[in-house]
Amino acid sequence: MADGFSGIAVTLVRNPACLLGGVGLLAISLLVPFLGREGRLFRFEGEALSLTPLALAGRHPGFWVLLILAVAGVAFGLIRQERGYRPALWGGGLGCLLVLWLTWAAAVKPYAFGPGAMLALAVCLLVLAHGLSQGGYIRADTFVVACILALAFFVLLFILFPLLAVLRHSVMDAGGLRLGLFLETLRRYTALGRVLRNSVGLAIFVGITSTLIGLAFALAAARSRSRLTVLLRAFSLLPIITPPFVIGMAIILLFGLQGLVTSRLLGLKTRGVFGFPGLALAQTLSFAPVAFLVIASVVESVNPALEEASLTLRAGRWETFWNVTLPLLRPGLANAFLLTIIESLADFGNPIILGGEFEVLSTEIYFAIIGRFDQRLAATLGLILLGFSLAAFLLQRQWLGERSYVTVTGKPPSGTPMPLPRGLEVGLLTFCVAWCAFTLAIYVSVVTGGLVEIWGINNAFTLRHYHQLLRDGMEALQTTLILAGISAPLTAAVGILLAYLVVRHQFPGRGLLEFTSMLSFAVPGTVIGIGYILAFNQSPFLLTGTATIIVISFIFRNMPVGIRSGVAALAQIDQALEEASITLRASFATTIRRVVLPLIRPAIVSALVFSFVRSVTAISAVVFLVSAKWQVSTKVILDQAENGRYGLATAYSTVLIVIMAAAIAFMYLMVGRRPALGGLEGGGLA
Amino acid sequence: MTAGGSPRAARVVLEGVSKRFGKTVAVDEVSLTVQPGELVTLLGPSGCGKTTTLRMVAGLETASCGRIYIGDAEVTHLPPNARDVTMVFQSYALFPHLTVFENVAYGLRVLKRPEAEIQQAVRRVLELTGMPGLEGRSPSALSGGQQQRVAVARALVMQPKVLLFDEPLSNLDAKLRKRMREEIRLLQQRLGITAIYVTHDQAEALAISDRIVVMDRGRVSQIGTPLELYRAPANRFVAEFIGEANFLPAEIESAGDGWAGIRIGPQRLRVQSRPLPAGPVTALVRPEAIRIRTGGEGLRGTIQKVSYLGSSADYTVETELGPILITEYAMEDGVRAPGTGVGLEFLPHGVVPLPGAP
Repeated sequence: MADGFSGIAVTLVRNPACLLGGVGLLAISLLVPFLGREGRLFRFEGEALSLTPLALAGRHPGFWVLLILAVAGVAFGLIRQERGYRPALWGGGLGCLLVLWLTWAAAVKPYAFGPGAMLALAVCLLVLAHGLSQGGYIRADTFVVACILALAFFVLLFILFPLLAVLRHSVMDAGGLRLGLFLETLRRYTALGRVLRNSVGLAIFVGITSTLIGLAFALAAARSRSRLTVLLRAFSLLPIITPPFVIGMAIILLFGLQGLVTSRLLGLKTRGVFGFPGLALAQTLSFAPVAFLVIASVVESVNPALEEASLTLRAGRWETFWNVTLPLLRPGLANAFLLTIIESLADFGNPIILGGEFEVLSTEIYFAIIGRFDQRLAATLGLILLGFSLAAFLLQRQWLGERSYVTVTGKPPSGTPMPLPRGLEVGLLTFCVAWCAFTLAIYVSVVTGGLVEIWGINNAFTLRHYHQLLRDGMEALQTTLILAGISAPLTAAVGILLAYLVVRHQFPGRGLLEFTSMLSFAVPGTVIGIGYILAFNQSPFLLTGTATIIVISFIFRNMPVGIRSGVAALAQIDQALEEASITLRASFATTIRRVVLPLIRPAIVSALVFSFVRSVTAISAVVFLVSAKWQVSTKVILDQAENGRYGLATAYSTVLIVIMAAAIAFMYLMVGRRPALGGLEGGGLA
Repeated sequence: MTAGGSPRAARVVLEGVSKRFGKTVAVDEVSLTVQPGELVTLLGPSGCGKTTTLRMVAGLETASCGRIYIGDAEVTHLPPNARDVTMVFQSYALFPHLTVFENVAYGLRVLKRPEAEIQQAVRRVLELTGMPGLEGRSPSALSGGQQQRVAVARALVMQPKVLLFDEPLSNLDAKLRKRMREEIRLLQQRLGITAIYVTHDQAEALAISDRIVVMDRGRVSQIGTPLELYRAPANRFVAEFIGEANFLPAEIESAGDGWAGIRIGPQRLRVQSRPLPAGPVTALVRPEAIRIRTGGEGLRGTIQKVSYLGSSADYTVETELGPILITEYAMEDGVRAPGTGVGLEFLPHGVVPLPGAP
């Protein structure tokens, strides 16, 4: 913005930022409808001019202030002043607050915020950015500062604001703020103790099993010289391309009432798998690969010199393994443990299919809204779930979160890592191959499930389910792919831009911005789901029932994927490259286009693909946001599975898995090497 | 690219330039004029503000106060891409996704010069830096010295008003470092470019510079030609930083226009000096300006330590004035043994009186 002004700096114009801001605001005030009808952002049917700020000023005197501000902007644009940034700073800042307040005050049913409000906010934000940049409050040009402000606004609106809405609904009712309300709601909810015990117990159990299995896989994959390690790495990708509840479904196929193992092989007629055993198994299968990714990166970063030092000090391989290698992995193990706890708490798909009588928090929240229409109970339970997840997230960050990506040096340690003790290697490999075989059986049963008439009862081959899928399921599939396709580039752009700002720029609130945006990793999808419902189903921000809200939820749920790949990629790029480009006459934009973007292309591709995959397989947040018009595949599958129609559900899952596998294969082709999978640690698969 | 880049060479003036990062003052009121075609080195230990000063000239940092001029224009608040200054970075900062040719052509392409002109200019400058025939290579396929040359070529091809070097040789091994510094100097003189060069290596600074700016904790300690800095350091910091030095208690007994009569231990000498009042001073004595007398004349002492370095030998001699370091080049008598009693004679060309007792 600053650069563009110098060209048109006529002697008459003393403060181009204020002038343009004022003129822009004036134009919006006279011409653009500030508000819109609920649910129809850009269609006005003749009442557009009655909704401009000028027209609204009769009803809401606050709009006069906006007009005065616009005129003041023009005036300041023409008056000579010592410190030109001051009017921009104050005017822009005041304008932002004013527009927000006016939106709040004026956008009441049946009206919601409209294009004018958005444009006015954008103009004020730009002017404020110019003031902050020129005044030296943030050392960057106007464009960069505007990006920072815009991102901060979106993060506040779409991450923090929904969480605050959850908080508000649990402690406020018609009578105003009552802190006792929270406890009151819980007292009336008699299942609380059992649900908490179930959720926490399951999370800890799954945390332990997943971490142990992840460790076994990580050691085998990183340290064994066997060719089987390729298999183990491929295994790491499976849960990423799988909708979260597919494993739960497969477990029913294998161990349920008509289960292949229970009914066919053992001749049992049991529903025993529903509840804790089935859930623990399904979640371990789902989250062990996440633990594997986390631990593997730590195993690979262990400096071989330490093990070599131990070996030269007369320790054998076993002693070195126990006394050096394993203690060095401790942070990775703790990290994996906490992440899988977060995952397990947040998991929604498996409990809803496999839970049976075994209630957990995430499903209870869903039933509170969908079954009992009790928003307050949902918000209260959501707050408790959020508390657990946040505690685990904060612990993880406190202990090791900082180290998890800051230590990317791009410099591989020298030396060859010590091979595992022979006995251990054989043991680990055997276990891992067996586990892989089990995983494979899961997927085989999913694929076959879609190809038989009725699993366990009539096992005749049929394409019936696929025909039905073509007839009934295509619309949801199309919606899913379109929405995910829209959100993926936006997610990658927002995430990588944020990573760039956080890595390369110093500004007040930088740590907070990063923390809040990474927060959506830890916030369970169900909590974000009710948060969005509570925050965005009323004026002024009315979005529920639209495709927009689904896309927004995808973006802000998956943004950390982009941030992580961006941070990791940028940390490996010497800042001198950008400086060299700038001293060679290139502008900021040219530098980004010609130097930064080509160098972080792999990160961009992987962020694109992973956010796409995660959007398609998402269920926990989106289940609250879908509507008759905007239906997504995962919800359709879930409905089928809940009704026991496993044929259609598994056929549909198979299709999704194939599409996801193709997306991942495409990424490998584009990137040409093993992409950073870091974005998926703590992947919030739920 | 014309070989005589000198018409573009510009004067650089820094007027009371300071840089604060929060509360720490990285650069404190630095004033300096670099003449067109001159190579000036900013020399100092790490953290002395030399790189920050250079980056302010480049525009990569903004001065907290003071003014910077390049040619006739004030550039203090101009962004780097509007300054007509290029820089050779410590890490070379070659774009890894571009070939050697594309790296060198980068700036010209940003300026949208005609392709034919770019081709010609790039080939010419690669020839000039001794790198013909490697245009298609990727930077990662080059040796350190070659990468260095590409970095220099990329900066030169822009025909900048000022060329900046930020410790450009610190990633090379000792032998190559010596050769590259000679080449850089030769190229700079041939093209007549104004250059500012940052280094912490005093030998490099002495070898390459027209003038050296010694910096200490953000301030300019002394500005002078290499000879002036070595022969007449303004203070103890400069004397210690450039070359080796002994600081011995001494006394001024008489003084005149540009000279002083000084007594060090038993010896009286007449040396070049700025005006100093009679009385106790510190005598800076260069190790190579001390002659060892086996006969025992002069300051008496005993050899404590011996380091044989091939072309020379370093001795530490314990005397009544404290331990004294001596470098001996002509070793007609071979290497002396520790414990030998010797006499020391100071040579006037290597003695500088500094105010104050040691």
